[in-house]
Amino acid sequence: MRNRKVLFVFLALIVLAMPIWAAGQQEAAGEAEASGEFDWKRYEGQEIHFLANNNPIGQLFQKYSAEFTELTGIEVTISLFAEQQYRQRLQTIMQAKSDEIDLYMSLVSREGDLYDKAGWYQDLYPMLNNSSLTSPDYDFADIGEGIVNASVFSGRLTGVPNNIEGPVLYYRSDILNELGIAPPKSLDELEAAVKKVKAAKPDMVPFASRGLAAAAPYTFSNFLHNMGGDYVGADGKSALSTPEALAAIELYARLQRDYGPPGVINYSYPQLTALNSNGQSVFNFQSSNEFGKIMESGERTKDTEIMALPPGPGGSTPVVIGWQLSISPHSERQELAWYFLQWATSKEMQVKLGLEGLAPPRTSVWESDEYIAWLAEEPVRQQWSEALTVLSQTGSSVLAPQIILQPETRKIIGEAVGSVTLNEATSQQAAQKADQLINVLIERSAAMQ
Amino acid sequence: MKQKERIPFLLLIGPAAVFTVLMTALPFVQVINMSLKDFIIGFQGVYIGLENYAVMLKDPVFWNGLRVTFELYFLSLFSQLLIGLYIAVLLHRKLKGSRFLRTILLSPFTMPPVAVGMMWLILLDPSFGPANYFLELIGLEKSLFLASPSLVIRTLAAIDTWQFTPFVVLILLGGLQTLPEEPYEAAEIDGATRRQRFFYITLPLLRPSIITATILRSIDLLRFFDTIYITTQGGPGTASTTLNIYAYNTGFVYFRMGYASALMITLMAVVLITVVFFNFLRKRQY
Repeated sequence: MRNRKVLFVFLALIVLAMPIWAAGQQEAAGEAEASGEFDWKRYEGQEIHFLANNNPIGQLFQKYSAEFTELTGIEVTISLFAEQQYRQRLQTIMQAKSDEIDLYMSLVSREGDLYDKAGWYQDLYPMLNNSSLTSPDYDFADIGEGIVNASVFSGRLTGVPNNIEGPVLYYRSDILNELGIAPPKSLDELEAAVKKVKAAKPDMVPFASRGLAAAAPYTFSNFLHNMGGDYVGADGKSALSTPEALAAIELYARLQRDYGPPGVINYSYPQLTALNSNGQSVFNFQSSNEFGKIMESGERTKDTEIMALPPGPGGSTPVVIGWQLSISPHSERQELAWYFLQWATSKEMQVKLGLEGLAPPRTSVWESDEYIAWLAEEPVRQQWSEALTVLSQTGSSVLAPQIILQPETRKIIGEAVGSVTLNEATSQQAAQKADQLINVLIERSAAMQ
Repeated sequence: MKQKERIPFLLLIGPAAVFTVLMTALPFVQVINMSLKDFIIGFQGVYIGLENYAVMLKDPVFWNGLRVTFELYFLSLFSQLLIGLYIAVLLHRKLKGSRFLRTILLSPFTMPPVAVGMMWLILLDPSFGPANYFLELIGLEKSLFLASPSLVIRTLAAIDTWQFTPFVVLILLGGLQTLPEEPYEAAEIDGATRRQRFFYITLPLLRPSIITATILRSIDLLRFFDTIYITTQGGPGTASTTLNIYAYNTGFVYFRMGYASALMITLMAVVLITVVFFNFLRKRQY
């Protein structure tokens, strides 16, 4: 009797599970290839999942996602995680080949090669070239060719660029005026200026930039380029021990150690933004993306100016990168994700993001009346825009050796600079150690090609 | 067991057994398998035998990780047992307001480590945190706390001690409440002082509870992760990179899952040996 009862419960569970399985099958069957005219409402009533970094880009998409739902009828769930956690989540999902997420943010200058080789990017060209799936107003050619090319690997479009950004020098012009210091025109002048500030304003932080190992190459690379150094030499090996690179390490470490805030070794953008927003730092070298947050209170619009990092002995080569939106190859709703991607990178949306302090990769946005009028409202916005123009016209996306295992090299570079900042090693010792470790990764990456 | 009862018994036990095999044994076997491969996430792994372990033995970051792990372990464990025992003895005395005090003292233990990490990160921030403000108020010098390579381990140990001493207190207090009255009565008649009673009666009788607390804290401390991850991510440099943090970075940040698996297997062996050692101590009769 008892056996029968148990058997009955098991059978009942199986019967109950069948509709769930059937629903999944039905959903998968609903992904037929699109044909006919483009229609924003084609996928009305369906859902997508977007995995995003909790930076201003991800936050702004969350803010405006209701507009996408209104336009298309597609519900979008945005999972926002801090940068490292979002990458970890992405890796777990991709490794499991799960269809859990449909699209995600990717920093192609950092991980493009690795993700591409691992097969984590869906080629977007087939959808872009399908007139049934791409809005006639989309105007992909409006996105700068150079920026798009950075997202193309072996003829495959791995994502659509969503912004341009890079480190820019925010400085308190009121303090400089008070002390009779002119905005620096070279790295030497920058160091001289922070020295004067330190002597005259002991309660303020003369200079601040990233110190956290994995994050530091974003700002350090600009110093390296401007001092005439490079990450890889002509022999294909790590080149942190060249005189130019050593000079860059010493200068960056000196500025951080002697003129930076206490605990700068753990600083990344959240701490720098806090320091910048409350007006404590006189020179703050950090992301252009943080512009909106820094200016939010209105206080800094009156006393802050912005410029690209001044040139050094090697000239001026700022850092410029951009986040892109990519579609998971394991997604069963790729066409819906493509709809979101089009909306997110459309002219209308890019103007909105621009007005929130996110520099757009679309040429037309820079030329739009609305954006021009917004920039003209405050001189600091104009300076921010001019600095970004310098970045996009003369910048480099080389923040580490351009190899598959680049993420690990970034931490090694950051640790080398950090150990000099902390006076734990001389620049030669730190660079030599970093060169050895990076050369191993260069060899490993070559073997993976 | 009767034949009639065997089938329902197997049906009831079966799902739990299958679940255990699927969720514990299989992943463990998979980690061992991965540790024998040169495996980078997204790429095909290649079997390399024990090479990952051989590389580990020559890897200075591994040895640094092992040193940091044990430094943090001993410092935290010692502080937690010492302070935990002191508080437990205090709370065991039925003083006025001790119930209220007990609730307050035990509250850090109920907080999630991530929230604790965030809280201390803000409190100890060298530029914005109130900790330095109070240090200056009482005439002491400002400190870098988590940003100083020489202070970071002590600061992390202090945070963990703040949070998990109440856990030790709970175990020891439970132990104290089960101690028999007779030895104390006999000692009192013999004229033993309070100190003598503590060292010659309380401590020996409390030994099983102390070892239980030690085992439980050892398992957690050797795998110390959340607070470090939130506050320093292993920095400055590698000053707080424990084995667990190193394995996490290697696997999830740098994609080298084969080597990360070898690191995790090694860490697991370290935890296991420690637990077995303390278990042996617990069972040993004096």
